[in-house]
Amino acid sequence: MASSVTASPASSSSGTADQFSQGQASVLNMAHIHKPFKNPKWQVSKKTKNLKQIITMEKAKEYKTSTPTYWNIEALPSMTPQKKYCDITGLEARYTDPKTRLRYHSTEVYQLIKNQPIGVVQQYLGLRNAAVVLK
Amino acid sequence: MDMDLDAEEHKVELHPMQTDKHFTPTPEYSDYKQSFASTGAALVIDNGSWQCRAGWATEERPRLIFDNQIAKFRDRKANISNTFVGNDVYSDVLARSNSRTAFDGAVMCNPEIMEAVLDYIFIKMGIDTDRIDHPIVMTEPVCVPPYNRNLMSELLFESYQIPSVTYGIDSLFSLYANGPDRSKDGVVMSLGHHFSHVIPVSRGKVHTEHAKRISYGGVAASEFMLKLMQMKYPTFPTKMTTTQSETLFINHTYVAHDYLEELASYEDPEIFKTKDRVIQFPFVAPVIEEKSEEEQARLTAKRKEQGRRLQEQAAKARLEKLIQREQDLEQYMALKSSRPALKKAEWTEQLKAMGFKDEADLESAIKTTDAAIKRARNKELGIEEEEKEPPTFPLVAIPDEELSEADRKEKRKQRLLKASHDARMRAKAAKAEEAAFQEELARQDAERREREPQKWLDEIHAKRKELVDKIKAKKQLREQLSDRRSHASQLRMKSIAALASDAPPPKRRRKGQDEDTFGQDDDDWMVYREISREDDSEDEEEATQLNEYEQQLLKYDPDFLHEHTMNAYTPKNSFLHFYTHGLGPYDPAVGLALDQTYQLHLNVERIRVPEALFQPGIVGLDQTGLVETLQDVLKRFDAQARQRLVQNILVTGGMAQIPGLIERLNDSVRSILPFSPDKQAYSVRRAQDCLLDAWRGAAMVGRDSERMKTSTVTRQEYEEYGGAYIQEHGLGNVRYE
Repeated sequence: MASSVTASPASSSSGTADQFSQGQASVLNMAHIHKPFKNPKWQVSKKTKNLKQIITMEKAKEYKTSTPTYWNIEALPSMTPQKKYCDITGLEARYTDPKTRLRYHSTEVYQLIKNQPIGVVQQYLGLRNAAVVLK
Repeated sequence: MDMDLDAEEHKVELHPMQTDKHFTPTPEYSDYKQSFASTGAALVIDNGSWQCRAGWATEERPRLIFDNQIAKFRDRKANISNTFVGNDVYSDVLARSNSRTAFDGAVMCNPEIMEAVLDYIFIKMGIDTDRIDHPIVMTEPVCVPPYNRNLMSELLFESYQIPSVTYGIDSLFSLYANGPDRSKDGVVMSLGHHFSHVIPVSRGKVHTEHAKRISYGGVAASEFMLKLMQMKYPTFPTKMTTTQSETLFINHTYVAHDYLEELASYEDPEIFKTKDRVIQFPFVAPVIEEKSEEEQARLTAKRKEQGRRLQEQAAKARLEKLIQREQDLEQYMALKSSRPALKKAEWTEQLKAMGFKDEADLESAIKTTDAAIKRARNKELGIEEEEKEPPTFPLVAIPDEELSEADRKEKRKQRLLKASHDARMRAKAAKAEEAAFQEELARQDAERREREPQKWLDEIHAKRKELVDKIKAKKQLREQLSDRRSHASQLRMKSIAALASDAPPPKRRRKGQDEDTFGQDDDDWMVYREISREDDSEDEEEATQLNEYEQQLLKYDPDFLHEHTMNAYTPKNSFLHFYTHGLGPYDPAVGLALDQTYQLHLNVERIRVPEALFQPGIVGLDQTGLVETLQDVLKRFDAQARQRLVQNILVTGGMAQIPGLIERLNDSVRSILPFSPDKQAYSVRRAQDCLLDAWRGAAMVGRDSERMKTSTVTRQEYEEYGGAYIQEHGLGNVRYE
């Protein structure tokens, strides 16, 4: 599966090129390249389902409850009390503004919060998924 | 001077921000025929949702490493269809905007795109046989739904007619690569692109039923970083991309050893200075063209020449007009002088022919033309016209009875003209008077300032203070009014109710007093101002007045500095200031320099973004963090097994490279384990190569013919049991039952 932080991929691929020394590089336009290894009788299905649809479909199959499945290995909600952090600065939050529900670190940050329009307040809340979403 | 010293002191290191993703093409190989054809060597593909790595199991490193994506589009100009795969997508602007991946989250859902990527791998490897005659070892996500595995198997067996495939979990291959003999027991923490997993392995069996997935990974971290930066710099002049926020996340974040302590340390400017990272975006300074003296002289000469030419043209036009007028006048005079010699009918006819209504019209035309000519001549000769005499209104003073009908009419006209003229004069006089008055006031003020400077200053200070208090009180009231339950709001509602009610207040019901007296006192009207919520124009007036006082104080009071003004921004002791703009030199009167407006300051974010791994609540994720998840996983094993597992905790995946992560985990794991005097009671280590170990482990499996025998799905099995079928082999998923 995947990993995201990297030494740049460019440097590693050039490393392999040196190692095998017969590597030459060019941009391939795959639409115009003959692929001899393919079975000409097989056509891949153009219809695709997204993961959500697939999982809904799979859930209906009623596997044993002990079977590990994609949807039941999700980490559980935390049981430990959550620390609160300032929505603006990220520092430890000692207070919560009762009006906007924003958590803040100091009076200085509060002065800033007081003058924020509702949209910005909601964006700050959205950072921790606490914005009010009207449907 | 102070500023200069400051600048020397804070020589900040700038980290330039790249604007485009660097493109390096993927190499091609032509050694297939002599080295690999019909050897039956396994092809190893680490099929990650971020990068795809592919190569031969017989080699130490993958031959191809590229971003797992394609771009399919039509070039309308050249009228050809294009399909670019992997890093080739970055070679073309159009391709870049059309890039797509086969993955939904971490799971492959689109076989069509996957097919294009596999084609690309086989072409790059130089395979030219009519089928792929090599076993394939491929990675897949933890607990991938059978449907998706079926898509992949179908593709491999049908489209490429491979002989067999082995599926395994990338992070378990990584565990295998980091000591095959130790891989029977342990816990893998895989910090991936989309998700992070904690997977226990006990006695060679993968307990995916006890594995846990946390929905925080490289993508979420980059997005969080982007959002934080956008909120921190709402008016940033360039648009930041996720690629850029990803590089910020990769290059500048670290995991705090003690998060709260580290946070607190950022509040201390001295420590802050050492931790703040400044990211400089490219910008173009406006070009100020410096002209040489010679060039400037040439330009002024040119301008003068142009001016002269214009003047000449204007003079010529004037002269032409004058000649025209003179001719006109001559004609009019000739007409006039011919009057006595003509009969009345002939005369009127001639008048009409010349365009006049009657004789009076002609007269007035002669008059105006004559005046115009005189004016023009005077101007030409440079004679200043004498002051225009004030208009006279001779008829106004004469009583109506003494006037003829026409004169009466004229008189009415003159009266109107006189009234307006008088009004104009009065206004002019008043204006002059006002100007003189203001001048006098300013003079007196200046005089007093010189006579008793201290007293004068005190007065201004007092006035300013009064105004500031007033403005502040107003602001406070406005704030209170925005809360419906505040005292101020309730008073306002009461006033509105009283105004709206028709019935007079009951106390005044005594006889003779029940009439409404609202409005007799001017202050009564103030109630409307009280209940009005709109900002009135007074605000602006007050602001200008305040500004005036402050300007005077800035000018004459040496103790009154810019930072004392009401709206002054005082960065010296403001955390929010150095949080966004750093501790560099800053002059509140000037604001940010141009290069500073293109700078990002990365400080608290450096620990805030990776901290979400330990406290997912930071990004609003209601899940256990990494350590709590580990605790949760360990709880499902008995004490003996637990003992074995914690001996071998391996951290792998891209995010495992964040500095400080292993140290933090090491300490946190100690806190969740029972106390033991033995220092070697557990071990947390980072994979040797967090990115390539999954491929290397898979290659090790691919080389091991014994292992391959028990772990691979053959063509026959595929046909018999279907595409979702797998062999359980201790490094992969288990079957769904």
